[in-house]
Amino acid sequence: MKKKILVTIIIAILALTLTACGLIPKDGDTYDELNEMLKADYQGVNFEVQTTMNGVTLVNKFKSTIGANNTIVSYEIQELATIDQVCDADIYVIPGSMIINKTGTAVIKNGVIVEQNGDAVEIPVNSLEKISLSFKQDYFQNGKGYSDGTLVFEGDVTNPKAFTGNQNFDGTDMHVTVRYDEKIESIVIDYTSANGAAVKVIYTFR
Amino acid sequence: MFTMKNMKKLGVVFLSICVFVCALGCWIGVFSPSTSTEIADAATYDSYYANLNENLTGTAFRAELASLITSTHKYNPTYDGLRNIFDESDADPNKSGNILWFYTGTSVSFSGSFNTGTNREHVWPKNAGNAFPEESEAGSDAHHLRPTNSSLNSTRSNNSFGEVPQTVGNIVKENGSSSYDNLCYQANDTFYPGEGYRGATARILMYVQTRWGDKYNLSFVLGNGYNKTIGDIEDLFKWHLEEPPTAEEIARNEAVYAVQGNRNPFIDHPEYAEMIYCHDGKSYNDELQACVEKYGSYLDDEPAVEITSLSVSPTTETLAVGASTKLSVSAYPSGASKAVTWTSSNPNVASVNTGTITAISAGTTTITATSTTNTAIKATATITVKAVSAIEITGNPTNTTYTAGDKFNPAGLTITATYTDKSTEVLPTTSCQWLDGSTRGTTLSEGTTSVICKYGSIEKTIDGITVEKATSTSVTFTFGNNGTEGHTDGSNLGSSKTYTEGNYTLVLTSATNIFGPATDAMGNSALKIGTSSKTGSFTFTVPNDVTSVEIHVAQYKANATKITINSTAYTVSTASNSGTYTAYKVDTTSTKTITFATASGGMRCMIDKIVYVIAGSSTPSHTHTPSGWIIDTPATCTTNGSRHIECTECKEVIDAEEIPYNGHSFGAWTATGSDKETRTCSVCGHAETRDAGNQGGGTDTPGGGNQGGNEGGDEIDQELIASFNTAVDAAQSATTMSEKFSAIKTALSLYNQMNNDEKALATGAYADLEDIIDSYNNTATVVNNESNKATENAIMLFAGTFSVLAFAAYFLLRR
Repeated sequence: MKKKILVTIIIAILALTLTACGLIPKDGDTYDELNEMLKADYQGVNFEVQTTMNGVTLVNKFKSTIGANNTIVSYEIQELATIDQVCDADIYVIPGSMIINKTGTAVIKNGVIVEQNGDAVEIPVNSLEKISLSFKQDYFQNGKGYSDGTLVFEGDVTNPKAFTGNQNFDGTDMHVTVRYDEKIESIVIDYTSANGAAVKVIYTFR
Repeated sequence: MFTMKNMKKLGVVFLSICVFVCALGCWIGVFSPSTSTEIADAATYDSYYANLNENLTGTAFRAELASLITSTHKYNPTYDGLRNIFDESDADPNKSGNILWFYTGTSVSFSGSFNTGTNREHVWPKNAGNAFPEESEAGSDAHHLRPTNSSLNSTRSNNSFGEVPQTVGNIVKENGSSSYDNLCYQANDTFYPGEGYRGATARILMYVQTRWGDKYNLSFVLGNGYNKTIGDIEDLFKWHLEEPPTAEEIARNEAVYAVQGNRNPFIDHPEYAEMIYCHDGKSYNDELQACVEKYGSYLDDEPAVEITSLSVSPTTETLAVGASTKLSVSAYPSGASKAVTWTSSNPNVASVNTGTITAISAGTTTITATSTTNTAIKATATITVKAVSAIEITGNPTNTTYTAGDKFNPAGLTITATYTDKSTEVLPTTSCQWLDGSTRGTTLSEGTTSVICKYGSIEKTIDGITVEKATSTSVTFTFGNNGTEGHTDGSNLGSSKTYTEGNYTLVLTSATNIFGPATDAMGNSALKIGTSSKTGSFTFTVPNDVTSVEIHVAQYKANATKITINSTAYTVSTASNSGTYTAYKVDTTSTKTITFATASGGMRCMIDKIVYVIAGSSTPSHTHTPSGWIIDTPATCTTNGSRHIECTECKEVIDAEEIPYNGHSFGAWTATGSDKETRTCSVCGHAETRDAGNQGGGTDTPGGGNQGGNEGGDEIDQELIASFNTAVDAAQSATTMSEKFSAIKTALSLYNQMNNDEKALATGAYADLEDIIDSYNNTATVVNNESNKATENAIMLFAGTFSVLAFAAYFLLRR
């Protein structure tokens, strides 16, 4: 009996401590903290987009290496091959593999690409505007903070448009996991696109 | 006695003689009439042109010149023999064993092989042999062909020559790189050679036109051309004046003269171009005369004055990022050539092109002008570039009411920039890129209330504008004997055809296999594109105010037809004998040139009209009321249908799309005889027959299929056909992409092993396979689009925040 009381007291103390440390996002402190961390200075960010649809997963990766005078960016893009006919002949070209890997690098200086090598990729983007994530308690449910060696926040996003700041975003079932310490270390966003693709985006901050 | 053994011996002897004779011929061919490449002395030079009547001008003088360079053209190298000429004619004088690539001047090692990054560029595009023979006559004339980088040559393709914006996005890669000395640019099928090679390009083209133009009908035309045309003579003439013959060109002319016996006269006598083109009675005379006034005349040249020094002005300049200025150059003593090449010590700070400096990023760079006649003589200017740290916009826009499609007018606003050194400056309002506040497009959209001034990464929003909806008008070009264009004889239209409606023209160029008109079963007449065995195609460029185009297409009779419009593939589902045509819409707000072609697998189609939709400028009289989907052609088991939504008031088509085909609804296999089974579609009655017991089959065998006769044909491999049928069935029933892909590969591989008789027996299954491939490709495209969209969303979250994502955004935007 004494043992049970002791265990209950220890658990209560631990919960109070965690709350005091802000690991359980009850009052919005963790959200504010994450928003502040987004504004911190980072040396760079790599990201990987995994899109799964019709049983196929395509992975697109962008990585940067920041030097004294420039930034070298490497990209690895995956596309599904299509089976097309040779011009002016009823002969189909049989692709070697279902997934085509395209890679390349670019050197950027002062926002200008000064050198580019590798495969051309075709990802149509009609308009891009700078938007940013916004961590607010109202946008989440089941938000929880814990530590598994590093601090972790994760939660289900109830308002993906507001969270991503992208009013055209049409994904659903979004779940976010943020690992952080002094700064954000990584953000993983899982969601389902309007057309049913399962998407996982992994940002790694440096 | 001619025994087999003797015959072999004779063959060996004969071959040996052939090899010897060929080798001798090659040696003589390459090196005759002379191996000397020394610069011709004045006597040789003058004697070559001694009998020309230089009092003539225009076409008369051109004819004399053509006669001279043709009659003295004693030897035309073989296409293969060019490797031996390039060794010498294009040798890098500064590095033994290297040659200089044309268009860029890049020095590369050359062993004589054309498989290691260097190939032979027909400066006047051969257009796959349609312009002139690919590998003889004009196609192997050493004055014409130049060594270039293979990939750059490929990118240049059949592009016309002309000037395009020198932006990063327009740089043509060389050896896979966008960073080399003399950058070439390309946009809208127009190719802009690197600085220092523009004048040389013009002189080669003038030579080709004079030497070969009469025989192959090669001509300069205003505007972009194709096939036998090469581009705007104004641009070429301007380049010829701006960039006088270089030492490299002069030396090359001598080297080729030593082999061929004729010369490029426009290098020896640059004034000949002016004597011909400014006096040939064409409409562009005035423009060329203006060129001469602006860039100087070779006819006025005094004897060459040796240059002693150069100066540029100003010698120091401070520019804001994005600004540009032009340096002027003076040569001394008076009369010395002012021709220079320009370089920037740090092109990432500021680039230079024909003296125009463009500031790119903060820093300092030295611009150097080097005399082309004496490379030891140089002059420099120091350029400091400062970056803007903030902008402020004051005042109110004079015009606050717009119509959708308009561009914002910033009159009334003042833009003040603060630089990193704290200095301020009022910038011209054109410094900003003005974007729609809602769509961020460069034209305004209906309902927008604000615009954005985008200056680099800095943005300011201006509120208080109103954008109303625009209406549009259209111009319709109809074809056929009952149409406005009045075709009557059904003949081939040839390579070019012009139609006029009011103030608008439709010019079909690069047209192949187009006939006007053909008549369908309904008695309608229209253009017929393609033949039963050849694809048909044409290209046209719409005027700037045309925002979209509709091409109304139907099948030729009831044959399945595949088409491409600007490389996008469609399957035409409407049969012309139904009296219905499907309108394929093309957005031309940014891309003005449209290429239409029928594709293999369905060579023929018909076009009854092409409609230009022109952006309006007035307020609409009503708001469209959508009708709901109206079925134009129902989908069947095997063909797509079409439907559209129109305004119930004005009947304007608001939206249109294809209805995917339904597929067959087969019942179970039933035995029909001793060795056959059949199944029938409950909707259309289509029946499939297979051998009894062939559970993987399903081959349609029209007319009873192969009864074993096969008279005179190849042996039928029934096992191969059955395997193919099984693979097609497997592809049909595959549930995952990878299973489907694998089964399609197997089926195609088996099909490729079949002979024609076997293929004939597998026609039905092959048609099914084509449908499966179409379906697979559609799904693959959907998955790729989803992946792209997810990547786009991922980029947008941090665009501009981190360099890698800023790069990704920039990189993807410029696609």
